[in-house]
Amino acid sequence: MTLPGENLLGQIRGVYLSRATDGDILRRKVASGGAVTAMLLYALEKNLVDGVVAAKRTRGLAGEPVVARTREELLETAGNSWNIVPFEEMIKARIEEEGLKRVAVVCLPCQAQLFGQMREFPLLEADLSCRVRYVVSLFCRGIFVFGAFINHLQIRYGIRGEEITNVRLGEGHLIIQRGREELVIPLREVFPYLQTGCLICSDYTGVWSDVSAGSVEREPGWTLLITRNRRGEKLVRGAEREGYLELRDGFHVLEDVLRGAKNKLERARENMKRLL
Amino acid sequence: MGEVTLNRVHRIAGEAKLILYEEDGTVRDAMFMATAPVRGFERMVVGKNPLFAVEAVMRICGLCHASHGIAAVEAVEHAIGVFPPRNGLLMREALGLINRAQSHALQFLMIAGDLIQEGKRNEVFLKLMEFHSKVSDYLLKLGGAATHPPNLTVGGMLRVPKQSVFNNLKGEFPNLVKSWEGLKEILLDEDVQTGVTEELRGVKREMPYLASSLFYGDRYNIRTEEVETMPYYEFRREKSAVESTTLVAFYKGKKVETGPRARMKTYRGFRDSSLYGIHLARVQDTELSILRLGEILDGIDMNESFRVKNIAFGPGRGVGVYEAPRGTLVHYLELGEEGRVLNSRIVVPTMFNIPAMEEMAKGLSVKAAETVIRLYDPCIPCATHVVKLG
Amino acid sequence: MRIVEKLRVLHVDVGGCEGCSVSIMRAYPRLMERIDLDISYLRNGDPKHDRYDVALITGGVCMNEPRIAEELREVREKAGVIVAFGSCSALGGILRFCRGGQTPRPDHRNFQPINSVIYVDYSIPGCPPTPQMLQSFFRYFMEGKETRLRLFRVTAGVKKLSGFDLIDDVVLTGLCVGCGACELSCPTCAIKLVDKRPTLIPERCIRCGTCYVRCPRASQILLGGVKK
Repeated sequence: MTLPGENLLGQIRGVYLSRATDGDILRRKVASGGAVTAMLLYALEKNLVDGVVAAKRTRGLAGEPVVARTREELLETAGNSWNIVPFEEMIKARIEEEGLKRVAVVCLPCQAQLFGQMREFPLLEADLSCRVRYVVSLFCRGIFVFGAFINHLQIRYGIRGEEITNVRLGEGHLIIQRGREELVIPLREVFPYLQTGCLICSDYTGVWSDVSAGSVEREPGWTLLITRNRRGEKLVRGAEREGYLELRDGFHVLEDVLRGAKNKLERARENMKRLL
Repeated sequence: MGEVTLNRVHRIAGEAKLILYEEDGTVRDAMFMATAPVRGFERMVVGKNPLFAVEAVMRICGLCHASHGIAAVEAVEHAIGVFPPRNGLLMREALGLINRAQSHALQFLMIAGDLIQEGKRNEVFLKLMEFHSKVSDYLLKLGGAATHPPNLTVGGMLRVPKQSVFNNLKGEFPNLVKSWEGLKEILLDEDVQTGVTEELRGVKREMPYLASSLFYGDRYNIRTEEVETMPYYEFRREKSAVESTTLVAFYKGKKVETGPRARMKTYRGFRDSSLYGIHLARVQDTELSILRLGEILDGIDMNESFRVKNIAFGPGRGVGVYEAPRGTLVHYLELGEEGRVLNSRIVVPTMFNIPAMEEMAKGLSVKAAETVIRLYDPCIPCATHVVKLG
Repeated sequence: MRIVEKLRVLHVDVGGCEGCSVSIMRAYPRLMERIDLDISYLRNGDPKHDRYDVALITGGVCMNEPRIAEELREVREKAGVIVAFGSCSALGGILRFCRGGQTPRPDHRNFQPINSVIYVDYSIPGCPPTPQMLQSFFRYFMEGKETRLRLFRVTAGVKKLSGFDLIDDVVLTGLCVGCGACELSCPTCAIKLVDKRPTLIPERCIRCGTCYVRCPRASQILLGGVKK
């Protein structure tokens, strides 16, 4: 496995397009194939982990970290992450409190780097890191400074944060959903509300994860999964074998991911020159 | 008279030199000199916030970290007139006892090379490390880290583990006791011991003892103003003494022994006066700390507070006395305006024990004399970071 | 079958608190099959060999005691790879605060990380680093997975990192995304997240540098070679 910048997508073992077989999951999902939820449901139900740590959208775009231990709890976490949930310290408390021995973590690339490094090279957090079994990272182009972004939407479009039901990413624009209404905003307009740190981040897929997941324009309704090691490969394959996932080869769309990664790297390089 | 010089005493914590003056194989005199550089923690903390002082002094030593932390917070609390709540004190005691067991486990490891036959040593090593990691896990969960526990702070506990963590630790406790019992058996098994233990069993020798408590430490049980220190090169006038980077300490003007045997003699009616008795006392000391740890885990009341509120630092003087693994540890502290550290002096057990162990080595064979040094478990990182009292 | 020789590893402490040495001892039972560790806790007498594959060095260098720098240079000659293990050795750590003036050796006033004296191959900060850290290090090192160890390779070129540097380079520059890695990795609880941004409690920071290495942004700055 390599670090960001050396090889844009990190180590790749398998690339799949996948989709959940479970109707419940697909109904809750809008943007992609629900593969992450299905895969983790497999891990939970087949007792590979005792809990799944993920962000759960509470109100509008706001989120909080939760430990899902049952199917229902897990389904409630389904959806995209638009707001970083600084959950490390909270996760630690939760995991200790609930006495979890093996957890899967769903997170963003920067957090995957933390969990990945923590697991491989625990400097202090050995107690926590030995309990992290799977790290699943979601593709990320950057996240918003939450308050500022919501404020912008309210002032400009009169949309309140808690009314937002979903946010999707299109080619060059962002689609904000409020009930049945859709608002399309050019990406240029929302860039200023990205976290400054995200502007110098060059990791699009999460190279420290076991499995990276995201969607590509070309294959709507499918989740692209990149497995990075044997552990990740076994998770995906196992979920397929047990009927949780439908899989097909995804190498043909890898170039789309690479384009996303290149864009992020270029942006990072440019911004680094300016900011550092 | 012959001279045996060990430029680097191995299997002790830190860097030290030992000179043995012998006649026909019998040691007549011994000089034990720490040679590690002086990092100067007492000077380092001057002008700083007491919270920094606590974090810093814990880093004097990686073996008795929590002990330094406890003595330091006791001194700060004494200076500003703060008393931690019962839970805070119990937790602190627990952290100290875990630290004691950790430290003794490493001493047993280092002394195994003298006391236990070679064929058996690897087994002892693995068992000791297994025990060490089990007991360290308690410090990690309760103290926040297996070394230099950050939860230890002025006024009580900085963070408190969840109830479920306590329950897990209580559930694990029988395993810890079992691991210790297996270890104890092998540490005391006469069939696997070396010849040197025979010699140590045969030599009965004692000194005045210094101990302030069985488990924790009590500033009112000893007269802290009657502790004196001097640089080693003033204590021993030999030319080679200038190499030493440590001070030595005396209590009421006398050489004293402190540590496990002193605690057992003072509080438990321990009878064995032979040099081997030091090893036996340490085994007992470890056992008692584990049993007491179990008691404390049961005694914590989660509904009560763990830290006193409204801590304000201001001028004052305080003394913290704590029974560290190797004996009585004294921190003297003076806070100035705004509660910053004005003066700090630390007297560590090894400073008392250096004159004691040089005394004990006399009349022994060279091999046994070297073993005696290790029996006292001198801690060099501690001993070289202390200022002269005066 | 090919008989693989164990890696020869020497441990040298140049004046630390022994916390890192204990960490190494704790790591050893699981490393025994692959490495042969020469450490003063376990041996009788002087180091066993003339050449070592790896030397693990703990503790900071007292610059006022020339024999220590001398000893380090000798170790550098003897060992193929030098690993600075723990914050004092890697970055100065708490010893950055030393200012001498203490009896019996008031002249011992300046302590430096070992890379002030010799070339260091890898630096592993932590106060102390966990035993698992060392086990992982040797696993990747022996498998030749250099990319995984790059962070420690670049850290070896840096002389000072701390919570203060983290605040300066990542938080005050606005690069922080608020992930909370620093809070979790701090061994003294010196970092608290307030409004999703780390706040340093300066009197608790012991300058171990763990947060800096752990921060996704700061480690990127390190890997990019921006930090010296």
